[in-house]
Amino acid sequence: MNKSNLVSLKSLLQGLLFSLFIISLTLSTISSAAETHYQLQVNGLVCPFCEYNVQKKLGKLDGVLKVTANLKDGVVNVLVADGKTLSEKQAKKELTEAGFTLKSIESHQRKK
Amino acid sequence: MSTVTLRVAAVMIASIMVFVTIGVNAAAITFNTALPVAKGAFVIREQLMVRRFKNDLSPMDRDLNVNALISVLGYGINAKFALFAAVPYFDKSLDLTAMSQQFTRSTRGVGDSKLFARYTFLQHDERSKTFRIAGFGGFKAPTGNDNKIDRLGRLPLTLQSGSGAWDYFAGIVMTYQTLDYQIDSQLSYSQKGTTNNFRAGNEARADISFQYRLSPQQLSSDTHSFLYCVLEANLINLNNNRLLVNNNAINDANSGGTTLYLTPGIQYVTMKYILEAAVQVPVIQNLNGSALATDYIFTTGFRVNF
Repeated sequence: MNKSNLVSLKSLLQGLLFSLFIISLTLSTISSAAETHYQLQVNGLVCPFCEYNVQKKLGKLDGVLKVTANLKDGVVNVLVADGKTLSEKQAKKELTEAGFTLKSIESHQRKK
Repeated sequence: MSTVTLRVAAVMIASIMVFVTIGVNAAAITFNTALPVAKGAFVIREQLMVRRFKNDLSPMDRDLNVNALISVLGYGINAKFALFAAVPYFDKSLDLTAMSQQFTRSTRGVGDSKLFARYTFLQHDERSKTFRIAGFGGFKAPTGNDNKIDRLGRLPLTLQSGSGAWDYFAGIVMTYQTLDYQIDSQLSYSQKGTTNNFRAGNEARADISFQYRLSPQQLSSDTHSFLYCVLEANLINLNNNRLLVNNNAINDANSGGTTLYLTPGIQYVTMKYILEAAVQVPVIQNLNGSALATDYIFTTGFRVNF
């Protein structure tokens, strides 16, 4: 193997290492992205038909990834994408239009 | 059944209704005013109704059968204000004896359509409970044919698909619902219109519906369907029909009266649809003259939320 070949191999390895560094950096940035979990206490939730209306109303909001309801506890869980938020005003408006009453809202950051 | 007993029954039902309230989700089977609708949402209810009458004791030996397919569409203008339309399709037949001969007369077609609005003026929500009171009012438009003729001539009004008249009605509906049970009730009055010198008797009715969750007995965080047993009561008072002859109103002595139905039923409620069935059994029928008495009314159908 001549000297020029060794130089080009070295350059290739350097490029490969640099690429791996960039990829790992990107992955670490993604893994630290966080979705927000909102827990809504909703009054007036009394049967599965209610649940559908709540899911339909909140599910159409920008950034909402998932809406589930726990009828037993009167709780609606909303998962919102990174960088998006669900304000109390928005939640109250949608729930009122669906025919229910928002009692409280809490948010928790959830790492992916 | 005596008039006093009927009055006592009416007062008892009315008294119960003072303390209960409006249908939010499962809702009653035998009346539509309690159907829940969110803003911008639609609800569709399709019901098949089979009504059978008791044997006629008059010499005409009438045997009347009425089947109906009733389509109801509701739309939420906002959370408090909703519009409803109900269109029935009838299949009616009447066997009778006249001049020692037996005849069968029948008709099929779209009946009169109802349009009404409901406004919820009181809503009190608590955790897993709700109490609502709404007022409603509307009209019945004569969209059905009221002038069908067969080989014997014009069909009697009870056989026509439509009444030919505009009727107006109003009432109040209340719901109280928890996770375990729901109570819906309504009081309503219907003013009948006049057509072809005939006016059907005005109708006053009181309805109450009790739905109790049978399954699941214990709720968990992933419960998404309920099975309810249902018990409803419908008290209906019809005035006599009236005929206008030379500007004089004459009561038809063989029409009107009071009926109290008890209605056991079942309802399966999921997030998107509801399946339901009920049988209205008359426990009190105090009818005037030879008006035909109902044997039973079977209703089954489904409801879809979208």
